[in-house]
Amino acid sequence: MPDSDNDESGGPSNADFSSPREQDRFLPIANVSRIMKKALPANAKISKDGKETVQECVSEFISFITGEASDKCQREKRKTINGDDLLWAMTTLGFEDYVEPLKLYLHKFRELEGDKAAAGSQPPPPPSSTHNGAGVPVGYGMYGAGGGSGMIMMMGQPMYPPAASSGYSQQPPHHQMSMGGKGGAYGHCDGSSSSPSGLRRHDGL
Amino acid sequence: MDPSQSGTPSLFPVMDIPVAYPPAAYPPCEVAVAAAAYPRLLYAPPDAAAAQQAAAAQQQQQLLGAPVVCPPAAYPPGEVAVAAAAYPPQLYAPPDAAAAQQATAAQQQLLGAPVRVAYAPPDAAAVQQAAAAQKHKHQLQMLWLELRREIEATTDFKKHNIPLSRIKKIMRADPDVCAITAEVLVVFPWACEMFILELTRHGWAHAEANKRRMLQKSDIVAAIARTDVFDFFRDTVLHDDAKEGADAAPAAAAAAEKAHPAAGAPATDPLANYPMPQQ
Repeated sequence: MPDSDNDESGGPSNADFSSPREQDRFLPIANVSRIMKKALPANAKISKDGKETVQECVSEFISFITGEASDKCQREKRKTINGDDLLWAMTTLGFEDYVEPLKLYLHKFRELEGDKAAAGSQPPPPPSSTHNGAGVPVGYGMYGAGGGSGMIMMMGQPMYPPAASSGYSQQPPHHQMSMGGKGGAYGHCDGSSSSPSGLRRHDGL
Repeated sequence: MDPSQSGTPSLFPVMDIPVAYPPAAYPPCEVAVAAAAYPRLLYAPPDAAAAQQAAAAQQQQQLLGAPVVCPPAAYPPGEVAVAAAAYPPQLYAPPDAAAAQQATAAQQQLLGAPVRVAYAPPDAAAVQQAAAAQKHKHQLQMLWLELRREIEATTDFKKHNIPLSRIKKIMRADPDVCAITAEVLVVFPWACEMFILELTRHGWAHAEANKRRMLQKSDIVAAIARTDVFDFFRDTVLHDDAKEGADAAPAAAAAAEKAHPAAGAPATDPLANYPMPQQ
């Protein structure tokens, strides 16, 4: 089983994992680290174990989404996973925030793919090798956890639509502070017994 | 005898002054006031009537000085004006009332302050947490917007931040996966990037809450624990820790040795403990 070169990757490969087997399990830590820095302030630092933990989580994320999409294909008696299956799996597993931009990207790709010849849409030949024998029980565990996650996300649905909306968030903090002020006023109206406290008031925040 | 003689001529002009004024033109009270206005008249002993009038004027002045309210009808308008001027405390009544009102308001304010202070701690904590949550949410939205612009601006489908070959290998590790179309491999890198950004951002929120500038594994684990969408990682991450320690003992040991000077925290102890049983 020869290892293909990383032609698409512009960054250097991770030299910490010398074993090819370990190298195949995870994404390159340099790429992961570069993306992590986008989400952090300029003066923030990332420890090595922090990078490795995210590296493992991304691999689990890929396996998680792939497993769900594969299950859907098997239920529908299909043998090939396509982009819609992938987006459906993300929505089912609680990553609906990712779907909208990816859908636009998928449409662009299909338009260009349509312009080109149909040779580009040929699926790659499936390999018959299985590296991780212990991955099966992990997969089963993930499926069960996925179900639980789906149920939990059903209850947590209202939290994500506001996050998806793109708008100024200057008003929400002000409104929240205003509500805090109202709470204070309500407490004052109660007129309960007062106790001396040296803590400062942060109503102005 | 000269001083006494010089004194006598001065008395004569003084006695001539009342004679020069027609007495019928002034009432008795007015005359008394006029006499009071001229202190020299008080020193005219030969004139008994003038002396009596001066004494009456003095008595009236003493009565006016007393804090006794007299009926205004008993005095002419001039006397009423004098009476008003003779009672200064009455003119200060409004300031006293205002001062009393201010004192009452001050007391009310003082009484109200402790009640507000009693509710400050929970309000402050809630406001701080709400502000931090809003800030975190806002920053995550900015990340999504930036990434969305990057996705929309991308025209080269072969350029990715994550190598496709590695994603392909991870996907094919599942024996149930038969075939994968090219569009899946084109979409997955962006999904992975979104996932990394979201997980890192949640972890950074935990690091900031602990006043740290370095993102550690404990921050990622905390983010996974408190975010519902990452529920499926909770057992996997812990399981992978033990598994990784067993599979790659030398790699973990090397990582632990390298992490020691960089981290400088006891967080690396768990990593160092894993290879020891294997050795």
